[in-house]
Amino acid sequence: MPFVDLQSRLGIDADKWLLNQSSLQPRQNAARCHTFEKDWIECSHNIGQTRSTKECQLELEDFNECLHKKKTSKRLYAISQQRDKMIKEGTYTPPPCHSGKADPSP
Amino acid sequence: MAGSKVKQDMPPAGGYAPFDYKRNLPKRGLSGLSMFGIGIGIMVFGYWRLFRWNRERRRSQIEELEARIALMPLMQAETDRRTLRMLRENLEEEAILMKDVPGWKVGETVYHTDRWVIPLTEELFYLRPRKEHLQKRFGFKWYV
Repeated sequence: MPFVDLQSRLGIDADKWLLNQSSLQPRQNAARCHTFEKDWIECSHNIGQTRSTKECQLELEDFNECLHKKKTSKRLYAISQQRDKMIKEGTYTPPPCHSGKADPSP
Repeated sequence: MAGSKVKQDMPPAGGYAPFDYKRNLPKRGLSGLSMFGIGIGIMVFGYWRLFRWNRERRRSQIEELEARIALMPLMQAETDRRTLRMLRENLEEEAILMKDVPGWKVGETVYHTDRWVIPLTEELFYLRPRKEHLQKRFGFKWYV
């Protein structure tokens, strides 16, 4: 129930521990998108959903990007398509670090 | 009939020699209680040895964990250097490749934040041979 907040009144944690990635995880292993989710939750805390969709849009976008990596994979795909095209045309040869003769030392 | 001497099978003169006919079940061996005692004693000795060895194993395990903790900064520094070097190489290649593509900003980040975001394996290996990418992702497994 929204205004009663029974779990805080009773001082128990019945299901809050499983509701988001940023809650305490076993062995303190942080989730992959922990920081983005934390930012978004801190931004949209206590202001309601209508305001949150307007004000916290950047944080939400970053969080979704971290979860699904759509923009990242689109970008990488574009670059690798361009690379294949240029290799086929013959205008580009991969440098030695990208052709399997890389030196893996740090 | 009374007077005729017929040859019959009779016992020898003086009767047979005496022989044992009573039951002979002698008490022998250890008593039950002492057998239990020996068994329990062997078990207790075994447990004592086992607990001693387990304490030794625990000390060895703690030593191994301490060694891992001691080496962690070095390992982390090496990984970080390798990651940054690969990202730099990828950035330079991207600049060369996307020179003629209109409206492309080299090295732009897809996030709105300035924070350091841990790069994906994809981002590090997408220009390298596929074998290296697969080796990085699937080369080490925790299971056998």
